[in-house]
Amino acid sequence: MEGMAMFKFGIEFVPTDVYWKVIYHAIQAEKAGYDYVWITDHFNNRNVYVLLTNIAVYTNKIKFGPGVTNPYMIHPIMTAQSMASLNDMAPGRVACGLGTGDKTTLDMVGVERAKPLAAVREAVRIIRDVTTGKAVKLEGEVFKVAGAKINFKVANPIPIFVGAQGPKMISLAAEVGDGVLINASHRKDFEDAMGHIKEGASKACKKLDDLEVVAATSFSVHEDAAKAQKAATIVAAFIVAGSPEPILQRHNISIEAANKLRDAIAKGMWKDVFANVTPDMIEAFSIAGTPDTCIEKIDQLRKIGVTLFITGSPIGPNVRDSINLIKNKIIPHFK
Amino acid sequence: MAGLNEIINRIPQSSFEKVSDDLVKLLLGSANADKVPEGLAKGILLSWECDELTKPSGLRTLLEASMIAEKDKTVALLQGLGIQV
Repeated sequence: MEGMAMFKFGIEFVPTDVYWKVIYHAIQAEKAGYDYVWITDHFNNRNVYVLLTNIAVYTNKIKFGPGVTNPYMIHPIMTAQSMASLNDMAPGRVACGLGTGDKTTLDMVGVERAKPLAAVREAVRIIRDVTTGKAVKLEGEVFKVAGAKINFKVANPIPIFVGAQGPKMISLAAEVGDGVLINASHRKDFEDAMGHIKEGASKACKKLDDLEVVAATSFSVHEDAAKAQKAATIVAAFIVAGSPEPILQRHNISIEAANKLRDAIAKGMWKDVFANVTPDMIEAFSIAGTPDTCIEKIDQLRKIGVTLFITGSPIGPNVRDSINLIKNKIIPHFK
Repeated sequence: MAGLNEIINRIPQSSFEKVSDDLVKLLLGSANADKVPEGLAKGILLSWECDELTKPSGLRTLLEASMIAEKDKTVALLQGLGIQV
């Protein structure tokens, strides 16, 4: 099939568990044939660079990076330093995911999400300049840097994947990033995104082939479809609760239904959360089912233009078993 | 109770893979995974990276870790496989 040889797989872990369990699964992902492992970056979980350093130590070929780090939380100059240092340990295996989303986390620490488009454009420039040995001088709208430079060489360029959801950010991600990382699971979201990706790429005179189009999905696979869907329920609830109105409308989910979930989550009423997640929500915001169902949906995204498919949380009712299923039944279908 | 090396010696080679798989499952599902000492956790990761969790040295590391995190379940698991503990 056209494009099949280029199709890649990534896996995303949220480091809520003790570090060695996450690293165990990262090693497992490498053995399973994944191309990338991404670790989320939230102040209230284990530190992303501690995990990534260990991944550099215990793996040998899989690429890895923060997926994604937020320039409002971590200054891009520090992200650049971290990426460059990781690249010292594992040259050519490091990638940087960057995004300005996750308002809930920013609110918790009192950081304002001002001018996100400018923040991303400037952060990408800072990280790229620093990791290619340049001194950064920038009088930006969000960041001001007066000639910062690191004192060691980076052996190779470090690709930057920009997380995006809205049309303007998707277009910017394609313009300035090496990859556009879209947190979505449904073909409708990617059909809508592709126009904005093409627009952004053309602004930078890039070919679409020069860009990685990444689907960062909520994924759950099990031989029993009901078990896979049950595992995806709580993640779907959080996605619905955090989705802006246009995204909900695209999937015919009412604001009232989303508000019910927001309230239940805020009050920690988990029975109500489970009761208010509908099959349509799971369908819209996750890929959950048997290996055959998952293959069909991944292939839909591939045909739309996705080049890198990320299996994100929950991955399945049992992460280890699900990675084995992905290894044995899903990845071989595409590679 | 027998020593760890003695228990390992009692596991038939044909069961290495099954015992290793069950111990990994037990450890990954354990709520006491944070009680696994640093050296053992690193030993598990290194053995896993090198495909040695099904070898006697890897099994010993897994067994030592699971005896710390889930002693009763580990003993039951081994006895369920017909291995004297």
